[in-house]
Amino acid sequence: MLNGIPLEHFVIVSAVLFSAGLFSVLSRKNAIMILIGIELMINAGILNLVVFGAFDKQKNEGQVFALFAIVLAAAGVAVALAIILNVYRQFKTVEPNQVEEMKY
Amino acid sequence: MKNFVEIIQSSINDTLGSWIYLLPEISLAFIFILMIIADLFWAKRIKNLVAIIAVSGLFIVFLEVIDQFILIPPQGVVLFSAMIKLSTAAIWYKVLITISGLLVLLFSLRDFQLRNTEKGGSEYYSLVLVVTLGLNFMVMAQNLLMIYLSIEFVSVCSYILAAYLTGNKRSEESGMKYALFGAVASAVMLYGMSLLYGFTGTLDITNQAFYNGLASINLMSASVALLLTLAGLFFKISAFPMQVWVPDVYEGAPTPITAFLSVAPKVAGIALLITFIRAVNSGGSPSGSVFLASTENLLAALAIITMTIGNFSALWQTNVKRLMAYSAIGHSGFILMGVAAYSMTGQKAILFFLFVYALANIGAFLVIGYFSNVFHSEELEDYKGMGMKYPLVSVAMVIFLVSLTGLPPTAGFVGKFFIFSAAIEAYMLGGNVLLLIMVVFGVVNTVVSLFYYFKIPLNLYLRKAKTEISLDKGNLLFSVIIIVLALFTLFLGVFPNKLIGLINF
Repeated sequence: MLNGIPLEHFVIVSAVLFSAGLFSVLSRKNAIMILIGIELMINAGILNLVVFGAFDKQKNEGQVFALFAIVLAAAGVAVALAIILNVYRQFKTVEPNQVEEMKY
Repeated sequence: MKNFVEIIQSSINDTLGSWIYLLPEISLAFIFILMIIADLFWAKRIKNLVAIIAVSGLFIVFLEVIDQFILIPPQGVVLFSAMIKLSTAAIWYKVLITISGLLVLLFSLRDFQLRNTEKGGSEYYSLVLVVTLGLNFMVMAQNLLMIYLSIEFVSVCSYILAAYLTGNKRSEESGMKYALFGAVASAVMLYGMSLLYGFTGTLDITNQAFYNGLASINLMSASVALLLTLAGLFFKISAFPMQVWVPDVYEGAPTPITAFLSVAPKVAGIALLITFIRAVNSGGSPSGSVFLASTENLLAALAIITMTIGNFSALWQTNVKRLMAYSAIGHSGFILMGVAAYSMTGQKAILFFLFVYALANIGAFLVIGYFSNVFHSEELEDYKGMGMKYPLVSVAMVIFLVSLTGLPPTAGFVGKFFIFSAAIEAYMLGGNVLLLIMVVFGVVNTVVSLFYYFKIPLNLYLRKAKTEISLDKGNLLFSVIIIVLALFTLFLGVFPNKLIGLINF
């Protein structure tokens, strides 16, 4: 119980978030939408870490991990966006399906 | 409160005592900062300043890594409150990573495409050093936080390196694909790690609580969490479900970076995978572990699928870099064979195999880079008749390919022999039939790989060149490195004991 809310609820919310993110990654055509899906998946992980970390009073490892994960997610997305911008300059599209310079 | 003060004091003492063991990593960080400052202020006046700092700095780091063999006790040291562990095995992996980093830096110095980007090369060299730094942490990581941090560290920098050639469509495309696939893999891994943390209440994977927590819960939930976490590692070593990015990224990225990506992250990923598998199997004592049989089966199955996919897809490739990418997937399968048969001989076999693989693979990519500097093409068609024009380099290429196939008298034969015998030994000890099937598949795949590797010498020597234009001479630095690597490959094939004797832990 965290502030009267059972632990399961948090875990279910994060599982839903993760699945929504994965669905978006698999179904969307636009690279930006894929990035948003990735962001949802990362947030599901962070939510889990924070919730489980609440039971780890002495070392607080979960909260620390969550902080690092937030920073790294931002760094990763920044790099990915910069690369997508470059791709847009070259191909005039951000849809990975249409970016096919290399063939099998 | 008093208790709390004691904890703080002991952890501060632990941290202060740990710094001395981190000398190579600290030097790498300093060299990185030095390179950025040098690039800002003096790069205009002194040509190639940043590259010179990078190469000499990495060489100093290499010496420092070698020095650590004497510094640490045989059982290794645990540093920074069990965040990382420096063991003899980890130092060997670090040696391998640093050597490949050095070779790639020398390779990049004379690469045509990199020299002609509008950005210039200085960022590039600093990023290669940063990737090396991340990889060094990866092989030592003992804690889920450290594992995640180091993997992301390496990934984010590799995305930039893959997409480094702005204005080159292929490089941009490979960068985007790498970044998207990599971000998904790391997000999946983060979710798996959060579940592992929830199940066990600790991030330290060597802690007994980690194993006990996993063993006490439902096997299904434990395996879901473990598989999600392993997905991130499999992405780094390009094993079966996460191997789709490899061909496109390897083909599009600048050739030195392809050489680097095909060797160094794979080495670190394998080291991390071994740490992880060992932790799941209750800290190295396999007796009574719940997961021993399932991890062995999983890895054996993945090894079979990975090498079969890699080797069979390579058969109909016409681009040499793409062919080498599929061969790299195939080799991941071979290395996974060693990990599946993990025992103490197993780790030795893996390390030796990684060494010979690194030598031959970097060498082969150097030859590809050499040819692409001369006639700006990586298509197999254009290699026709080049064997007579560039005899030394072509002979070296044949040696590298023979070594990658695993035929005597090269080092690749010895490496594959060790991996196979480790797998057979594990079968004898444990009696898992899947391991035997894996060995059979390994032999079949070795034969298959012969067909596509020998397409290159076939084109080099037996086909006539399309045109008779006289081409400019190749680069001297490249030829020297290529010949040295080829000689090493032959040397380790004839006297493998020179290296095996050194690897004792």
